Amino acid sequence: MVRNKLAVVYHDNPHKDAVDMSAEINFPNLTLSAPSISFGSVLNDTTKVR
Amino acid sequence: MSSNVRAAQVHSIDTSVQSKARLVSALETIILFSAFNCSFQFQAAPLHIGYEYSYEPGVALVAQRQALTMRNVSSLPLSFSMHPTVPFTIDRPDWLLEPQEAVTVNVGFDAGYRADNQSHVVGTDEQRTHRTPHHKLTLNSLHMDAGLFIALHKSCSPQHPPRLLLNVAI
Repeated sequence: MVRNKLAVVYHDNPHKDAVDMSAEINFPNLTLSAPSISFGSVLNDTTKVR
Repeated sequence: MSSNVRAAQVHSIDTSVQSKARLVSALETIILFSAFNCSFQFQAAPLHIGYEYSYEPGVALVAQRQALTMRNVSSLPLSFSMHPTVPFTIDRPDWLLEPQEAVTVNVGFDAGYRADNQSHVVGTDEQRTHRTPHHKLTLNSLHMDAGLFIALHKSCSPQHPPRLLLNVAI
């Protein structure tokens, strides 16, 4: 979600108005639970699951 | 102090007061004025414009646009500027509206402004404009036959509540 304001500034007057702006951007993205996976030492001909 | 002297002083004061009273009544004038605010009316209330973009395979990402209509509901011409921030844009920043005149500005939004194709949440980034804390706007002036010049000013700023200043010069 993008939140922002469109400011309206009057010339020769300090009064200001603003219009709230918002936008939601959706792309097909994945969220990974960990940046890396370490299996440590693994014996030959065995498997390890993380 | 004798009673005659005191009576004479009282009489003198009364004469002076009467003289001032006559002077004041000679200059008595009814002053009419109007104070104007920057009155602006937007198309929708509450003031909010929302966009939504969802990716679709094979569909090019194009900027979205929405119309925002504004009307000057004050009795004075209104000059103003609009300042959008990324990713929002407008097609014209500076405007001058006559009383009761309405204009429509196109407000654009570019969903690809970060060029990373990531769904994201961005915090509030309000634009703040610093202004002179006490700005006076001359709104009206009156010239009277007695040679009295009166200027009316309107004071308007967030730090100082609106008030009217009356300057009198002979």
